[in-house]
Amino acid sequence: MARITLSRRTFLRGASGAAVGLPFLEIMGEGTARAAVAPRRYLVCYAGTSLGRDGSTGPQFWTPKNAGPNYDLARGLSPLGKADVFNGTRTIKAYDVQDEVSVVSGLKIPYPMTQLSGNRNTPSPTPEGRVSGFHGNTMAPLLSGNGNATSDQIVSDAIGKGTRFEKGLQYQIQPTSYNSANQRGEICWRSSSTGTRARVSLTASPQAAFKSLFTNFTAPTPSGVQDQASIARKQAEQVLVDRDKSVLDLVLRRADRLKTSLGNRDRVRLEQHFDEIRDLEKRIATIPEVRGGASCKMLADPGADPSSVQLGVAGDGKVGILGWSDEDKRAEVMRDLLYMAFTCDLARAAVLLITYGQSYMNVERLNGLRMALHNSNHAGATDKHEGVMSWHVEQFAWLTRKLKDTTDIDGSRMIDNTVMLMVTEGGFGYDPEGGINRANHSTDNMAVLVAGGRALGLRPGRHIPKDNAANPASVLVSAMKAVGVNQPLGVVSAGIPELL
Amino acid sequence: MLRTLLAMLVVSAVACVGVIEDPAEIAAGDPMAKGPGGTATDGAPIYQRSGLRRLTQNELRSTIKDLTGVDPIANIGLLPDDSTPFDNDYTDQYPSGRLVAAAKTMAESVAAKVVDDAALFARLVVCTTADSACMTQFITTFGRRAVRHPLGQQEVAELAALAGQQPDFKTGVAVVIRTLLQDLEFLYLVERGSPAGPADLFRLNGWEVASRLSYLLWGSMPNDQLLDLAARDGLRSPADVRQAASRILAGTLGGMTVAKRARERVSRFHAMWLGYEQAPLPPAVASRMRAETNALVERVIFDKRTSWLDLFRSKESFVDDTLATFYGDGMTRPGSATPTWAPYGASKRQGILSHGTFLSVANGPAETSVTLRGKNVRNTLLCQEIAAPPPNLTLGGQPVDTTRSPEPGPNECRIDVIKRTTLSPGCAGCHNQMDLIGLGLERYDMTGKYRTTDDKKPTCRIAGEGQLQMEEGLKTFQGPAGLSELLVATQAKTLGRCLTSQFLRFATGREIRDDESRLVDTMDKTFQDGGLLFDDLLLAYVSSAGFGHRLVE
Repeated sequence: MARITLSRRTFLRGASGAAVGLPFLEIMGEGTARAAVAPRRYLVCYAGTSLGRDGSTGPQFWTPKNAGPNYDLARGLSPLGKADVFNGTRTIKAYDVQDEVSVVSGLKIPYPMTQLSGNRNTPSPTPEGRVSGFHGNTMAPLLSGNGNATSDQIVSDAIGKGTRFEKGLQYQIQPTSYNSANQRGEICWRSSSTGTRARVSLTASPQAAFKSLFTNFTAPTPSGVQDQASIARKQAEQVLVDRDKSVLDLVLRRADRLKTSLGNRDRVRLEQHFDEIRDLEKRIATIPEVRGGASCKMLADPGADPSSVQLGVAGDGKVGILGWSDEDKRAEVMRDLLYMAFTCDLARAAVLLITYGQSYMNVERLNGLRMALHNSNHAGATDKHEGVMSWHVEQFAWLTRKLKDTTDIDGSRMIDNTVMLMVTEGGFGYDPEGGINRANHSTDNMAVLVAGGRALGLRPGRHIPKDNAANPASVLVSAMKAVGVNQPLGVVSAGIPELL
Repeated sequence: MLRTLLAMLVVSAVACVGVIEDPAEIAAGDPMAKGPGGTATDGAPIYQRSGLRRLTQNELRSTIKDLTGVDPIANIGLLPDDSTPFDNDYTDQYPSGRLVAAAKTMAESVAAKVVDDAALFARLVVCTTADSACMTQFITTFGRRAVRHPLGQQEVAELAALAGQQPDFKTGVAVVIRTLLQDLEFLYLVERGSPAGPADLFRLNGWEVASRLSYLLWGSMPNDQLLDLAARDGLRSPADVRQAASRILAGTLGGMTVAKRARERVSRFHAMWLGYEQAPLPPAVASRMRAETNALVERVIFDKRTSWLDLFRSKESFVDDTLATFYGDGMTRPGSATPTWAPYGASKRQGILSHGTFLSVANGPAETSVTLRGKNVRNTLLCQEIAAPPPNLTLGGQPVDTTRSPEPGPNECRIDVIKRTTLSPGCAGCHNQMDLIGLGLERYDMTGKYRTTDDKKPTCRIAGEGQLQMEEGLKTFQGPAGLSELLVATQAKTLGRCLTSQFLRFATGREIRDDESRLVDTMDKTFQDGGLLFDDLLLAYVSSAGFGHRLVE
């Protein structure tokens, strides 16, 4: 052993929980006394699907019949239960996490009939967040209450300080819209330094996401002691970090000079680019110590991204709009990365787009039907589309299970300090633009899954029906409150009291 | 945005179709409304506002290949573009953390490949002394090409200092490449110019004109010949720019490789505009279909240099046996496994409207849509806009879901369901503008394959007869050939004007704004007066006074 480093955890263990009030050593740096307090974490998953089949009698998916605990696992919720299910095409895994997941159903985004009826091109969503044209615009209003930063960004700003990714992580599993409608993947917006709202792009490449997380990463050792190899590796990494930093320094200096010679509009246009370079430079330069618990480790390199096939052949030999990019494999990598980012405290808020709004992802691998998810949702057999809904829930349930099984740095379960949400594009009911009932183009009868948060005041594991009397954003308001952010989302300020 | 729907073209029970320009505005006493070559009738030049535009994914890939010899294909997908329909609309671009991180990843990857490949390295670093003088020489040469203008002394010194901090010469070269590939002047087309009179008018310098020209003509950085021309102040006047562009197209400035890339750029403009660049083509013949259409575009515009309308009039096509067989309507098989020009023969095809590329655009998810196909002809080819459906539509007392095509029952033919829904008396007022066109293309399925009956319903015959509703009434046509003939005979000016406005949109990198309609008018006049020669339009634009200037946004 060349050098012994007194880690924060070692010190705190030695202090036998009596860290509060003790003077701490300066070499251990700021934040030492907080090290044993588990961070709060926040994740929003998005599924580009609705909850029924057009013309059917009611919501088919995610809506249990009985309220309260031990709710029946409605179609698409089997991954929360205990038994794997074979759907004729694949085995849908079960993760036994029902007691960690609440279902809030019967949610509704209101819509003024006069504005929406027949007007598919209305550019702005309603104040309450109903996206005009249903599929037509950015999907963010559901997550932001409309016109504001999305909840993950608000939470990041509040609780992400000091982590490597202070602005959180933004990943997508379906890597492309397959039909050029990229706005249907927009689920993350933040307030920019110029005072306007700016889109935050999601990372579609598992490889890029991996590199971003684990470049210059050293997992904490169980003893807190660094061996010579680790020290040498860290020193070598430091050389690379310094080089990265000096390159970005010069890029920034040149950018600053350029900025002074531009017109106002161009300056504004580049302001966010400058911000992002500064952010990247800061992230590279600071390399906060990895503070995760014993489960924090570097993951194996996922290798090259699965190829993205934009076009495919539809059901009866005809060519239609659909595509497949091994989303099942991408999902495994992305959820691994999110799990480890939380475990190592690299980020405390994240969004995960599982599928785009009006998704043209081929669902054949999920339910045996060679058709786009969108078509499967509208017109596919209910029992078949259940396989698609379940696949989305599997990603959520897997994360829930992993966090449930992982001990946090304070000895509690990670899931108890984490709030995870899963929202959908639509619900089921009246379609105010088409003027028809029993439709998927509806924001009636929406449902949101809520996992975790037991240590933050939530009472998971129950079905909470709201009978179209609450906005889905209310669930987000409650979730934000649980992680310590008490503010409305747009015009939605009420939470869901039953969650607490 | 030219979306003023004032001039109604069609007599109809419901106001459905408008043009996306307003001729009344154009002609209403505007002193700058008419005149050749981007000048108004009184000789006043027409200037356009422009803003910073980021290189598109396609442009970035080409630029990096030209600059370094490395194809960044593995990383380029990290940088997405929106299509509107063109990929270069700067008003739709936004910087993001993902963009900045992707640029860093790409820069590192390219730099590593250069220093690991002796041949690539020797191509970029021509000196062999590996000392500070050699580094300065490399920075000066590479820098001029990367940011598309000469670096100042301070800039060279800064980069040299950074390189000097590295442990060896090669690492220094890599660091310079990494820096410049993340530089804003590399990633964006930065235009500043010098004040030229009115407060917001700036005259571009030669380097900036060179970049405008190269990214318009071949979608990549200026080559050394063009940069040298800029260095000699050889792009100062509109005549200079026209001459340079003519030489590029002819292959005498930059060689035939650049001339070929310019042709491909024109083909790609058509592919983006008409939508088939991203259309779901059948995988087995997708590349053949694209080659077929690209060959026709290049033949009409460059090889034969005839009227652009010949795209619609061509009686032969560039196909191999596989594609001719795929189309399946008696088209002459050329007897070749490689594409060659073959007459359409007994088939009813003619011109670009009968290509699989065009017919693959604007369909439903699993079947053709007469509404979408007709709407596409109106919107895309004629630049006419169809009004959105009125609110609260009902049919037979039932609300209508206008977001999806009506589907036939198990014993019903498609034509029957169309007649009882979109072409029923209550809906036909608007749908006649679209569906009647689409019906004329119905004998061609969503891949362009010929058919005479509904799929799996051999008793449901498809008539394949369509109608185009015009001011003078309904004109009947049969198939893409008939539609082509009808459009050329009756809508030639509209087709030409639509092409002009779309070309200007592509060239400007954004939608043409209401106050710029006189530029469309002027360019269109030049185009139409010259017999609709596409290169005339292109050269008229680059040699207009506005091309060398910008109004600051």
